[in-house]
Amino acid sequence: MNLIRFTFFAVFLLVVSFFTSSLVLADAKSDYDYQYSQYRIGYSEFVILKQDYLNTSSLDNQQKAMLSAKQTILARDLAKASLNWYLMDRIASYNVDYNPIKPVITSLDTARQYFLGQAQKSQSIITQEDLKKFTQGYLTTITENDSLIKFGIVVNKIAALVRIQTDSAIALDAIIPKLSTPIPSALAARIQELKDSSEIIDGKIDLLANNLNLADAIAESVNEIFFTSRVEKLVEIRELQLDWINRLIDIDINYVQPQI
Amino acid sequence: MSNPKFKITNPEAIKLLNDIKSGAFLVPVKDWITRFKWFLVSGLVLAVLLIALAIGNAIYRRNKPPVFLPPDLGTPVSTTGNAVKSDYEWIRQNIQDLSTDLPDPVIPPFDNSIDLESDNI
Repeated sequence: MNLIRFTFFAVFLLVVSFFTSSLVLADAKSDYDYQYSQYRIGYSEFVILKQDYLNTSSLDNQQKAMLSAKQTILARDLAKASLNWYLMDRIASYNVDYNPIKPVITSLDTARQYFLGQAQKSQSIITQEDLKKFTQGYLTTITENDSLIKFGIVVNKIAALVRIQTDSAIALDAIIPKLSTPIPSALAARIQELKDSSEIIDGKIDLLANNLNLADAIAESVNEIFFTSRVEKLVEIRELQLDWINRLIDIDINYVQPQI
Repeated sequence: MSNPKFKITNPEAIKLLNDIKSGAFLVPVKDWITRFKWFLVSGLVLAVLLIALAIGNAIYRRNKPPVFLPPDLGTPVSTTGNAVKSDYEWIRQNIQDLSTDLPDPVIPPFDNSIDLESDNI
């Protein structure tokens, strides 16, 4: 009886964890959307209040603008932290263990902590002078942290490519034992070609990942071709993967699947 | 019973009977034919031609040349329903669904210079 209860409880926990994990995935995106919408609302209000203050430098206008500035800074840095979290969540969703991207993931988390820290720090702003000092300090450190978002975006795509490579390799490993032995020489050659092509694709992904120079993140991220040069590589790798899987599926259909 | 005797007494009728008996009745007809004989001949030739055309058409219709048609091949039937499917279509679908557009997600604009000093709105 106890065993049955335990089994029901375990199944219940499994179902609950399944649904809560999907909720966590949804949270990263929805949290980012929410925080960014808060920033947009706050910023539009701040622009109006700042203009009022610049036009009429009354104490009342200054206080209103100051409060709005604090609120906007808070929303801005929370939105940036959420964006980093969202990227980290997407990368984690591919469930890949790929060393070249790990430094970027760590840096994304560090940058997220930085943004959260700045959001908290902004709430200690009281005077206009405090605000000025805060923004001056922010501008000296923000470029590097902002640039990491670009790296995170590229790493997100690399993680997707690595996931496809892993799935493809598993598929090939699963097909080989199902082939009738002895394997015809022509088919063996096709399988060897697949293995060779897979290594070539792996090499291209490694090259793309190792080309993310975090040490020079600021200079690299402001480069106009930061994304465009990598899009070309992504397209090339994606086409190679598509060609690879087409060849694997052809072998699967003609040699593994029962013919109708 | 007496047999009644029928006797023509009308002079115009008597004259007409005499003309028929003597052949004088046909004289105007002969004159008309003589006068319009070429029209009659032409009409006759035309009629003969039309009749010949009608007869020829009827004969042609009866003896149409045989029509040779290619054999019926039937309607093409799609074979997609019976296609063998691979267990790894989902990998291909994942690759096709992978967007190579960058930046994805798009980086929204943020104002890093929030202060009350500058006029950089």
